[in-house]
Amino acid sequence: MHDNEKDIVNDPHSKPVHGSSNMNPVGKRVEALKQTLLSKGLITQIELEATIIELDQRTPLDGAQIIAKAWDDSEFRDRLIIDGTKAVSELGYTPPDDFQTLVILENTHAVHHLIVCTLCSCYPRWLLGRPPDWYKSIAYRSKAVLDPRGVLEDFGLQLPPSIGIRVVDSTAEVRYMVLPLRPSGTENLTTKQLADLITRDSLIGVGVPHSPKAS
Amino acid sequence: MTIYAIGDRVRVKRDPHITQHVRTPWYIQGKYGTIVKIHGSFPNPEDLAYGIKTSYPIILYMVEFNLMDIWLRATTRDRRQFVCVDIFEHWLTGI
Repeated sequence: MHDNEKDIVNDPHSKPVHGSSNMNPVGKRVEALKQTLLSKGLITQIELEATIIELDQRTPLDGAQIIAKAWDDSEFRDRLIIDGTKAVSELGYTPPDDFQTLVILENTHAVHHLIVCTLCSCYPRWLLGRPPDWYKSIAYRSKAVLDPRGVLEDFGLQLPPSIGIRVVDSTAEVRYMVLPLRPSGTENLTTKQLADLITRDSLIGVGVPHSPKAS
Repeated sequence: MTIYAIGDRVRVKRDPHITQHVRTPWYIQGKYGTIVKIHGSFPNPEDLAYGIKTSYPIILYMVEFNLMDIWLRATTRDRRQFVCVDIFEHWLTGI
């Protein structure tokens, strides 16, 4: 399943419209689909609620912990780059189905990665939680593959022209997460302190991690 | 067995008359790129979308395109901008 459906089922942004119904057309369609799936016994109310709870439990802190460990443990970092799915399973993270695969995109001083799903909103939900609204917007999905340097500037990130930009469009069963460059001045930080520097945006590629505060 | 290897130049097939579910975005159809990674084999989403689960798995490649080879816009004159797209084998041709 492409990721979109899961969001629509529990879309908190469905706004009421004028008229006899308090649901917008998408909301009505989702409700009809949900009722059909339930009445045909293809899913149960319990499964539906369990899936929503599971999605809500994941946040970018999960992804940040994985990246902090990779910064701190070079052997783990190597395993993460060779086989992301297998490496994160060491930390208890497993994909939602048998086919979803994790690939880690390592930023270097020569190349910066940016993730998009131009077809819909595929996102490593099992590591980062739900995607931000802008990630699902037509504006971001279009501009990311047309003018990625401009997208980074929209997010306040000015990269030197010498750094190449590699946009990754997740069109299939592979989910991507960025391994950002470790900020300088972080040599003595603990894994927990490192994780605090890692933002959601830096794991998507529209930002970079925070620098440590001068002490 | 994979038809293409890492480093191979490929062209994405073009189908202007698509009415069914496909995972090959229109903006890279007909474009030239390079295989940079082989993800393995996956069930065909073009069949799964219609509930067909018996189809054989298809090799999925990560194909890299220079933005200059996709668009003609001023923003893509920067040679250091690339997009990687995951494309199933049956959408690719060798060149």
